[in-house]
Amino acid sequence: MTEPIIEVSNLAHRYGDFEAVRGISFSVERGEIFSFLGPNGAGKSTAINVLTTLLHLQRGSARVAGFDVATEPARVRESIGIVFQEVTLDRDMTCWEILEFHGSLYRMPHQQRRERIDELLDLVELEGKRDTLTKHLSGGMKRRLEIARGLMTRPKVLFLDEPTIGLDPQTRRRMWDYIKSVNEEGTTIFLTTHYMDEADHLSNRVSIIDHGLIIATGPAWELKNALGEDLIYLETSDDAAAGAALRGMPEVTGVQEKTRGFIAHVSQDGSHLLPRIMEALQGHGIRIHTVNLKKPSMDDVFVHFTGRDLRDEGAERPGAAHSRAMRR
Amino acid sequence: MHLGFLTIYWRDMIRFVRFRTLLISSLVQPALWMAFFGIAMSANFTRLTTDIPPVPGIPNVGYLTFMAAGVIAMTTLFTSLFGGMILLFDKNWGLMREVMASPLPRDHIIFGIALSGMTKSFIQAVIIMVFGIFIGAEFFQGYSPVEVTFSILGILLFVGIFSLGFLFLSAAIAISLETPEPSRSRLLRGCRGS
Ligand SMILES: Nc1ncnc2c1ncn2[C@@H]1O[C@H](COP(=O)(O)OP(=O)(O)O)[C@@H](O)[C@H]1O
Ligand SMILES: [Mg+2]
Repeated sequence: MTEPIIEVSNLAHRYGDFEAVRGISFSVERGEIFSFLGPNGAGKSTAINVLTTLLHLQRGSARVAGFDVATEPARVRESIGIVFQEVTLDRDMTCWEILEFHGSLYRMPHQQRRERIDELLDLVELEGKRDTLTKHLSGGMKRRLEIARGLMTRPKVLFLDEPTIGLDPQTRRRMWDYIKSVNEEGTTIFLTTHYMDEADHLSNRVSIIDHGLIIATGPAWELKNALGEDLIYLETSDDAAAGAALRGMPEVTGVQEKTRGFIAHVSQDGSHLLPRIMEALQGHGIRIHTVNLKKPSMDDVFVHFTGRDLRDEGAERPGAAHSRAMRR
Repeated sequence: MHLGFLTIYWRDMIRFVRFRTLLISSLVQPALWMAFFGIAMSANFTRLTTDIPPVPGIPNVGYLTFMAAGVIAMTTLFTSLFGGMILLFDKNWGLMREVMASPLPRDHIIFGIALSGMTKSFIQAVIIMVFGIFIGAEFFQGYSPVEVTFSILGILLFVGIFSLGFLFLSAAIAISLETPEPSRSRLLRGCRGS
């Protein structure tokens, strides 16, 4: 067993009276992709800022890459790379200059800097943009350049705060591929996101975070399994009676009321179970208006663990979230 | 010896050169100032003061020459005040976070900015002097080449100290101004040496 590369216990952070992070503990293993999934305002950036020493550690303890965040911040800084939530590229510098500046901030030797820049521009496919000012890059290119910058010093851990916020679907998929290939080369990745599919697709393990607390941690499939095998959505002539009838069936692990209808969590393959459920309900004289069968998604996982919909309040449309991120 | 401030210096100079409007206005404006006001005013002043007998023992300089010194001081003042304020923009645009997250000691940010601000002031002072001589100011009348060299060094020394003073002042103000980022207190703490 090797020591985890990030180890956090009881970390809390408050802004004045407002408690943004309320005591979280987790650890990240070497070589994995770990994500924080939660709506805007959950405290993800705050947690990242504490781990990257940009915010002072107020309560709890955190070790990153073997160093204590509170007592050895300089060592932590040397060992990590960061991509911030908002774009932090100087508009009037070229891609090459951005990387050169970063390399010399970290005191990389001249020769090594040059080699690394070539290598990284190649990795993120920006060789052709070497002498282009960053203000002339597209959103996806800027993000790629920031990832390249985060990798300049060959960090042990790369922190990505909402890496694909505001990008179009194709560009997001490409970003995922980059992040995966970086991870395959041995960099541990810690990322935050409010996109369910991103956490699902990209990470080995996910922590669901809401209102400054971690609600559940585990591989995406495990979190989904907590909801059962399948979800069956039903609208009937008498939802209360139907719910009660279904609770009596051994295969039904849970029933969740909705504004109209309800969702039954089932522990077996739903497509085989569904005819039996319908028969049982008809036996009780209940008429079924609507039926829908689906695999649990990360959205369902989120609703299950937090009791509310990520779309309801926290998350905005990607476009709106992006413009907010840009302004901040 | 950590030369991290040279990185900050390099970046700030790139911005100075690349931000065309600012570059041109900062170089041309003092010259224009001298050309328009200087020439017009000095003509008037010369007319008004021809009747006044020169005070014995005190060298007489033309109004343009007198004014050139003022323009140098004023330009240095504004460039330096603005030079430190650039940190404020950096903070608001989030550009400072990259530096804050790096192992660079905090005081190097201010050293780097001070050094680049001083360089800008030097460039401007030289341009004003050259342009001043071109339109008729008499800076080093009757000086030997050695004396001229010393005078120039003296002027640059003065400009350097003057601009550094204002750069540190404006940088300190910029850093302590309220921003949406919570990094202010950390930066200040860092500057006091950590
Ligand atoms: N500098 C700050 N001052 C006061 N409150 C803040 C500050 N930064 C963040 N917050 C608040 O803390 C909460 C968590 O913010 P943040 O960590 O940015 O969340 P996330 O990254 O998950 O969207 C939010 O409610 C936000 O309004
Ligand atoms: Mg955030």
